[in-house]
Amino acid sequence: MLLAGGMAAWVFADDPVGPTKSKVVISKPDRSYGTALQWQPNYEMAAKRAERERKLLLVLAVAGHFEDPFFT
Amino acid sequence: LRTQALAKPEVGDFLTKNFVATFEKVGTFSVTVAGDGLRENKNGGNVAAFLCTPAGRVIHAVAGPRTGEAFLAEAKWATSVYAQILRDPAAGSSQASKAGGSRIAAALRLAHASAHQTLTVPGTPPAHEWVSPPRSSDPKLAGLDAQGRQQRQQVHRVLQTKAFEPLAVVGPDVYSRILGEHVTGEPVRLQGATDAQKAAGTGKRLGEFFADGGSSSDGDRKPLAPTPPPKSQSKAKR
Repeated sequence: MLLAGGMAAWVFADDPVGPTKSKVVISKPDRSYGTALQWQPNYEMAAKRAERERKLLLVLAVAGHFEDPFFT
Repeated sequence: LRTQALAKPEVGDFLTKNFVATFEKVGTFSVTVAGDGLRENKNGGNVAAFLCTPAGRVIHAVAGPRTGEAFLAEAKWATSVYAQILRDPAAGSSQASKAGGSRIAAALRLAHASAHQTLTVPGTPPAHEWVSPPRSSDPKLAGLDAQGRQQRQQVHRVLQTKAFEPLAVVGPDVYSRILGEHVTGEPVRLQGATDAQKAAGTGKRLGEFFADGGSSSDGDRKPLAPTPPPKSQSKAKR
């Protein structure tokens, strides 16, 4: 947040409005971890988002750390 | 699952359209790094995908690795069966109520029983689409296909009595009974790579560490010293 130099307006790179000079462009973090989809960082966030977007929930139960291919 | 099914664009597209995805560490395995620090051997560990309602009630589970075709077929089976059940006015209109929930559970369990029968009794026609996925065209994946079919049968058998139960109830059952894994919060056991552990402590991921040749940041390819055998506790006490 401090990187933005105290600017309040944030947009993502794929914001349909597009960035303006007064806004800081922040790329959405890539959370695909080598797959063809994006992953929510935890169950609670995923469940809330699924409810909001009227989607189902996919929970991958793994041995090890999914974020690091070495550890999965 | 990550390198086979979940990396396929068609699988990613379908899941992105219909699901919000997340992951949880529920098990562990061990990694043994060879004395040269460049090769590793992974032992144990497995993966299961649970397809749930946003409230965490399990519609279906994919236990173990799958080919892209097989995973997609199971995800399509689960979403189409669940959508069909919700379209039934008796279940769908009152899904939040206890009666509606139990009707959904009953219908879902019936669908699992039917799929189980289709997969285990030759000649039984499928009641829903996607029960019998197309086999992979890659002959190297024949073993994975066969194992996946067997694990799918086991999941349908479990879920014919437990579908629509909370993930906290069904999850350990599937992970332990079908995959034979121990549900644990223990960290991954890393053996034979004390230097690698130090490298990870500097913020470098171990995968990157080994991709760089298991060397320190100066780029030298220094082989890792094998971990000395642990002293037995009983000896140490003496």
